[in-house]
Amino acid sequence: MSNTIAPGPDAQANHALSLLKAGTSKGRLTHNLPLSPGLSFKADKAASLKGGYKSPPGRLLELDVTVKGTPDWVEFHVTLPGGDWSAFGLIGLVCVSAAPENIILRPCLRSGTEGRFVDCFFDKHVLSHPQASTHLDAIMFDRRTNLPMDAPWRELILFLPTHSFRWSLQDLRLFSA
Amino acid sequence: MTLTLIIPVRNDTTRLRRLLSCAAQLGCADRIIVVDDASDVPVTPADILPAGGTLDGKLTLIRNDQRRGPGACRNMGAAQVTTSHLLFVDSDDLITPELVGLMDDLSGKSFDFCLFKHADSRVEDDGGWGQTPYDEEIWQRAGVAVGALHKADPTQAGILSQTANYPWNKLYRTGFLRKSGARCTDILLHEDIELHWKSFLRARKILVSDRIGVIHFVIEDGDRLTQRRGAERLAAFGPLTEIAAQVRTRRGPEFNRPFLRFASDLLGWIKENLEPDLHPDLMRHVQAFLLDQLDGQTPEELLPTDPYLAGQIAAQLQMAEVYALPSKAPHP
Repeated sequence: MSNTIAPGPDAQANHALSLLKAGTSKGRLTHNLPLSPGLSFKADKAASLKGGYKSPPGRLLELDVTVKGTPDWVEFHVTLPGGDWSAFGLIGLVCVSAAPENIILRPCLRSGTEGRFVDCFFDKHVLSHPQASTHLDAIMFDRRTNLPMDAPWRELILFLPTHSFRWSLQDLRLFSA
Repeated sequence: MTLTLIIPVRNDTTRLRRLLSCAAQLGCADRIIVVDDASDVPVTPADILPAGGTLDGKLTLIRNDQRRGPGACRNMGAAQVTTSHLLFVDSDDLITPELVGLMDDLSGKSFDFCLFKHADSRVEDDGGWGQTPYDEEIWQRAGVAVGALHKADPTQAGILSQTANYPWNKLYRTGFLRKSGARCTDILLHEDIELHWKSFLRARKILVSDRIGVIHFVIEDGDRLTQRRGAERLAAFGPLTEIAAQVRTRRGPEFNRPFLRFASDLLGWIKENLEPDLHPDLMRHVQAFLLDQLDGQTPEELLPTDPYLAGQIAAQLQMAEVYALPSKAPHP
């Protein structure tokens, strides 16, 4: 748990996620909230946002978000390593999630570019519904033109609903090959 | 928080050993009480303890010389508990890593029992994971389907009381169980109705978790008690009648309708799982029980608030009348 010696684009994120999962925390949501090193919740400041989060023992995150107005984005960020990924062929994610009211999330790989960034979306949306469910998806590097192989920084972003919602992210793991 | 697992077993050391290996791996039990219900070959620690010695010194093995049923075994085990909390598990069940997280979550919190989700092997056989749709719908209706830990308010408790009356989906505070007198009935089948309902009726603080803490394996064939189709199923009317009286006197209205629905569903299930030659006897009991519960009301009066229940009870009462007819024709 405390060592981070695994190689690959997924290793750093999996380590950060396992630390959040191992601990417990709770608090109020803000528009830019670091949850754990490498993990954060972010929302468009254009809208009013209230609510709380919990990281229960053995689980990642529970969000209770109340939105007033229409934010352009509400997101969960996972930091990934920058640098050259050309030695790898894919990155994927597996997550277990649930939500009292059905919600749809969009996972995305964001890569830093000169001056800005480029987003590469996973093919599938994540559907969270009342019964916890498992979602699996991957991005094959050679089939995407919007994924630079060399980037100064990268993030996995889960685009969350821009309306009020409750969501339980019970587990999230990345893999690469 | 310290935990005892109480496990009744009869002629099932293979699966019990699997369960104990799982418990050793998870390290969640401070003590394990196995009650051998007159197995043909008496269970010994060597038969069931996993290698490695993790559970050495934690196991208490009790044996009944005569078969008394899982309910009596659970009561015997519960009487021996010295830990702050306990969990009943069946020998063919498994506990999951989520149970460890649940215990961490519950540590330091005051509660009488915590109801948690389970995985049913039939759901896994169909490619899914978790509870049956019937149970899942109840959790959703109560508004607690999602979330690692909630406190159930009285209305939610009333709804959740209709979930499967299993003993192993509740983590109990030992003091609550002792003080409330909630226990299993000493009968072979339907022994867990009393424990389930008395728990809900007498608990002041119920916590609820969506964590799947136990995997329950349903085996449709074999010679298990759950496969029995004989007159012993009629013993269910004992605890049902007792609980019905307590529902009327001990708590507010939030449990009246859920209990009636639970009882009506259970009686329908018993009819489906009873030898046909016992149906007339069953339906006599059903008629008397339901009329007593309705207490002068007609099923039609339930229609505006619970059309499903109204229809089911009306059908059960009509069927009871058909069975009571002196006829040579085969009954439905």
